[in-house]
Amino acid sequence: MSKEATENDKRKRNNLLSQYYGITKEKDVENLFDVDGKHFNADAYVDKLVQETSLKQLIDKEQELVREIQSLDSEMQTLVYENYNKFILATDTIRQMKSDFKTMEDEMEKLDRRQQITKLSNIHELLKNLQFLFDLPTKLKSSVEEKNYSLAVKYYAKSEQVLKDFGDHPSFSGIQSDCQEIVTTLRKCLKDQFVRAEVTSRELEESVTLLSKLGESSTSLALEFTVINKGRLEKDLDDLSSYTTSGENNGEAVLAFIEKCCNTALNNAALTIATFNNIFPLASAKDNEGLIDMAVDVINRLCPVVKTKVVEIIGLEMSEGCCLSLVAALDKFHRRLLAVQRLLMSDNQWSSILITDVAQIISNRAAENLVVKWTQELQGWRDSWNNDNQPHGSVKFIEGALIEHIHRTLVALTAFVGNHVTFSQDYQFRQTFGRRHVREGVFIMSLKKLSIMLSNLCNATGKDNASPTLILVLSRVAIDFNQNLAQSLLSLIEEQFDIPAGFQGDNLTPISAVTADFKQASQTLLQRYVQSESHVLVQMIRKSMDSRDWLTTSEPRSVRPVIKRVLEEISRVDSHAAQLYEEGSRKDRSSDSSRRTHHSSRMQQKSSWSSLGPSQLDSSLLNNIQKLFSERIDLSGTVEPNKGSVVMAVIKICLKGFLECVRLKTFGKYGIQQIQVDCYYLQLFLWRFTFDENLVHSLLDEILSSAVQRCLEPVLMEPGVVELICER
Amino acid sequence: MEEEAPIIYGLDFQARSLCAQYGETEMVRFLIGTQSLKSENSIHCVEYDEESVLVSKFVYPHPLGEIWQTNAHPNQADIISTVHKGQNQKMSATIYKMSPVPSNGQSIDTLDPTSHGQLKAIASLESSDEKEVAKVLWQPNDGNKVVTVSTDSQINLWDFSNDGKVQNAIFSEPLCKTHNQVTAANWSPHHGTNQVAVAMETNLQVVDLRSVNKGSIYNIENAHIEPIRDLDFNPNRQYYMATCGDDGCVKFWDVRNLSSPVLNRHDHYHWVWQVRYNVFHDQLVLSAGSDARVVLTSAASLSSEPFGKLMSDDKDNDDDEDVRSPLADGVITAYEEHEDSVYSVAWSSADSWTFASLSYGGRLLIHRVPRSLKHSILF
Repeated sequence: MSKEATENDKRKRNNLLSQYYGITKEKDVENLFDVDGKHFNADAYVDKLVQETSLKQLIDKEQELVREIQSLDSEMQTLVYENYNKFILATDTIRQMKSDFKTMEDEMEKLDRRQQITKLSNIHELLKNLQFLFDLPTKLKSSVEEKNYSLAVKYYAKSEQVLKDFGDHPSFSGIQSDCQEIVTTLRKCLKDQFVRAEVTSRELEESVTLLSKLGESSTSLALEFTVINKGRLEKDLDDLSSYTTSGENNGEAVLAFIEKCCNTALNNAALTIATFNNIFPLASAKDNEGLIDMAVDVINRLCPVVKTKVVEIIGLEMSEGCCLSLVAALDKFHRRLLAVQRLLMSDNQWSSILITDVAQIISNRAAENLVVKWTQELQGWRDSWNNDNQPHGSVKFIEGALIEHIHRTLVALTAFVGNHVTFSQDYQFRQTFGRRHVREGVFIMSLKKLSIMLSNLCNATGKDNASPTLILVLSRVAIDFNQNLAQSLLSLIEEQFDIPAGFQGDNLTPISAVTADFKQASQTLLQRYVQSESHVLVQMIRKSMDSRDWLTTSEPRSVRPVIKRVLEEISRVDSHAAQLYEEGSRKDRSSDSSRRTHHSSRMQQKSSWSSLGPSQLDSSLLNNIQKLFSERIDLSGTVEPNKGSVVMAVIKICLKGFLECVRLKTFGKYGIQQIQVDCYYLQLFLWRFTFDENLVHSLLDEILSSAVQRCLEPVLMEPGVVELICER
Repeated sequence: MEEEAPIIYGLDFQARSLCAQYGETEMVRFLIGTQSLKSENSIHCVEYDEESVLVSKFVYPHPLGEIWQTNAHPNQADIISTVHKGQNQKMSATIYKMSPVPSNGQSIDTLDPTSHGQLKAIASLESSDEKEVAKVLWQPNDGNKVVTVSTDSQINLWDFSNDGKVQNAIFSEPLCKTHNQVTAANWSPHHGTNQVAVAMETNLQVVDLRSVNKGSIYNIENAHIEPIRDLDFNPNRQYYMATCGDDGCVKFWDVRNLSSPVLNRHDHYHWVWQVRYNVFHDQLVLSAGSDARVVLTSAASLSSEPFGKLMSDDKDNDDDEDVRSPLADGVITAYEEHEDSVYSVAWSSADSWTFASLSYGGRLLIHRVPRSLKHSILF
C-alpha cells in the first residue's frame, strides 16, 4: 500500500512537472510497456513478460535489466556530485560580490568630487570668453589700426556667432554695435586695399579672402574684381596707344615697345586671370565668363594698337637689322600672347592675324621702298649720266645696283621666316608670307613697276630727258631682266621662302607676265633709243640743208663735214649697240624689209648710177623708173634686240629725213653734185654697218633721184671724180 | 574694222598740195596742185562720184611754176590761192579765179571736155619788201580776208572783196627774230576769226590780227622736239587744236593749259606732214606722214560730241542697241596704200565720211571711213 501511495505521489509529481513543461499526457496502451515511458506499469510489464516470453528470454531480460539498473545508479551518483560542486562555486561568488560592492561605494564617493571641479572650470572658461567679448572692440580697433586685417577678421569671426545669438542682451548689444562699427571700417579698409591701384596680387587675394569671410558675396566681389582690373588694363591700353619713342634706333624702339606691351597689358591680363582663379577658386561659370570676356576684349583691342604702333615705330626704314628686331619683338609678343591665350582657353587667332597683317604691311613698305630706291637710282643715273660711259660696263653697274637693292629687301624680309622664329613655324603663315607677300607683293609688284619706270624714262622730255646711251643701256638691262635676272631672283625667293621651285598654282602671277613686261619695256627703250639718236642726226642733216643755198653753191671739192659727222655718230651707235647686243643675222633683217624687192648688188647699183649720164636725166622718166624699182620703205619695222637691227633703224630714219630735206630744196648743177658726192660717200661707208646694203642703196638712190628731180640743171659728176673726192 | 578699198587716181607729176573745194557742198571734189620744176604745173580738180565709183577730173594749167600750197576759198567754189615758186625761185602767193567751174551740185562731167581750164590771176599777194611767202590762209567761214605768212614770220592781212579786189590791210613785223623758218600756219575759226597760229620750227605762236605787233597771245615753246609741220584748230571747240611734226607725233592741246598736250599720239614712224580735223565730227582726225601712211585717229575724249551723237528722245528706239560704248582715243585705221611720203590729206567738204590723201609720186587716194565707225558715230 505504501508502495501504491508512493506511486501515486510520483504520478502526481510527474503530472505537475508535465503540466509545467507542457507535456501532454498520452493515454496509450503501448506506452504501458515502455520502460522509459511515462505510463509504464511495472506489474503489467512483468505479467506480460512472464506470459509472452520463454524462460531463457526471461533470464536474459532479467540480466539486461540488472545491468541497466546498475548503470543508472552510477549515473545518478555522478550527477549529484557535479551539482554539489556548482553550489559551492555559487557561494564563493556571492562572497566575492559582497567585497566588491564595498570598493564601488568608495569609488562613487570620489566621482562626486570631480564633477564639482569640472563645473568650476566651465565657469572660469565662460568668464574668460566674456572677458574676450568685452575686450573685442578694443582689440579689433587696434588690429585694424595696425593693418593686421587678418587678425581682426579672425577675432570678429570668433565672436560673431555669440554676438549674433546674444545681441539682444543689453550687456552685449553695446559690444555688438561697437564691433559692427569697427568691422564696417575694416570692410572699408579692405575694399580700399582691393581697389588701390598699386595693390599687389597677394594683398588683393588677402582682401578678397577676408571680405568673403566678412560675408561679402563672392559674385559681387568677382564682378568688382573684374571691373577694377578692366580699368587697370584700359589704362595700360591707353598708355600703349600714346606710347612715343625717344628717337632711338627703330629696331630697338620696337623691342622696347613690345617689352612694354608684354610687361603691362599682357602681363596684367595674365595676372588678373591667375589671381582671379586663385581667389575665386569656386567662382561660378558666369563670373568666370565675365572676366574672360573682359580679358578677351582687352586683347582684341590690344592687337590693333600693337599693330599700329609697331608699324608706326618701324617707320619706312627697312634695314635688315630693323626687320630682325621687329621679328624678334613680334615673336616675343606672339609667345606671350599664346601663354595668355592658354589661360583664357581661347582659340582666337590674335597673334597670327596680327603678325600676318604686320608682315603684309612691312612687305608692302619694303616693296614701296624698293621702288623708291630704284626710282632714285634711275633719276641719279639720268641726271648724272656721263656720255663717255661705256655701255657694257654701265649695264653691269646698273644691274648690280638694281639687284643689290632688291637683294637687300629680300634679305630683310627673310627675318620673318628665320628658323628661330616661333610664329614662322606655322605653315599657313610661311605660305602666305612667302607666296602672297614676298613673291606677289614685293617681287612681282616691284619688277612690274621697274619695267614701267624703265619705259617711262622714254617719255620724259625737257630736263628729264635721258641720254640716248643711257636708254640703250637700260634697254639691255630690261632684256637681261627678261631673259634671266627676273628668273634667278624668283628662284632665290622660292628657295628662301619655301616656295616649290617653279610653283604656279595658288593664283600666283606667272613669271612670264613680268618678263613680258620687261620685253615690252626693252622694246620701247630700244625704239626710243633709235628715235633719240636719229633725231640728233636728222637735225644735223636738216640744219645743214637749210643753211646752204643749193642753187648757187659752188662745185663740190669734198664731202660735207656734216656727212662725216653723221657717219661718226652712226659708227658710235654701232659700237655702243655692239657692246650690248649680238650682231644679228641677215635673216633677221630680211623680215624687216620684206616689202622691198630691190635686188641690185652694190656693184650693180654703182654701175646704174654711172649709167645715168647727164643727157638721160628726164625727170618724168626717172620718176617712173624710180617707181618701178623702189618700193615702199618700211620704217615701222620693230627694232629687234640686235646690233644690226638697231643701227639699221637709225640709218633708215636718217636717210629718210635726208630725203625729205632734199625734196624741200631746189638744186643747181653744183648743188646736185654735192648731194651726189655725199650720197656716194655714205654708200662707201654705210654698208659696213648693215647686212642689208640693198636697203641703204635704195634709200641713197631715192635721195639722189629726188635731188635730180628738184634740180634745175641736173648734170651729175663723173663717177671717177666722185670717187676721187670721196677717197681723198 | 572693215576697210573699203580706196579709189586711186594717179597724176603724172609729183605733188604735195591738196585741199577740198570748199565752195562746192554737194559734189565730192578735191583740188591738187602739182610740183614740177621742169614741166608745166596745173591744178587738178578731181571729182569722185560715190554711186558710180568713178573719178573725173578737170585740169587748170598753172603757169606760175610749181605749187607748194593750194588753198580753196571757204565758200566760193571758183576762187583758189596757191603758194608757188616760179622761174625766179621765189615763193609767191596768188589768188585765182578758175574757169570753167560747174555750178553747185553739178558734176564736173557737165563741163565741155574740149574746153581748156583757165586760172585767172585776180591778185598777187606781193608784199612791198618782196619776202618769200610760206603760207596763204583764207579767213575761215566767209573768206573776206586773206593772210600771208612769210618764211621769216611776217604776217600780212589782205582784204578780199567779192568783186576780186585785194587790198593790203596790215603788215606785221616778223614774229620771231631768230632764223627759224615758218613751217606751218593756220587761222582759227573761233574768237571772231581774229587769231592766227604760226609755227616756227618747234615753237608755236598765236597772234591776234588786231594787235599783231604786240606780240603773241600765247605760245608753246618746243611744242614738238622737232619742227612742227602742220596745225589745225578744232572746228567746234574753240580751245582745242592739234599739231604734228617731224617727231612723228600728233599732239592735241587745250590752249588754256599749254604746259603739256592733253593728248599725245605717236602713231607715225616718220615725220607727220599734215593733221586735219573733220569739221562735222571733230573726234575724227587725219594725219599724213612721210612713213607713207595716213592715220585716222579718234580724239573722242576731246571732241565736241565725246559720246557720239546724243540719243534722240524717241522712246520707240529705246532698244538694247542703245548700249554702245563711246569711241576710245587712239588709232582707228592706218591706211598704208601709199608707197611714198604722204604730204597732204583733206576731208571732203560735201561728204563728211570721205577724204583724200596725196603722196609725193602724184598718187591720190580717196577713202571712206569704215562703215562701222560711221554707224557708231551716227546712230
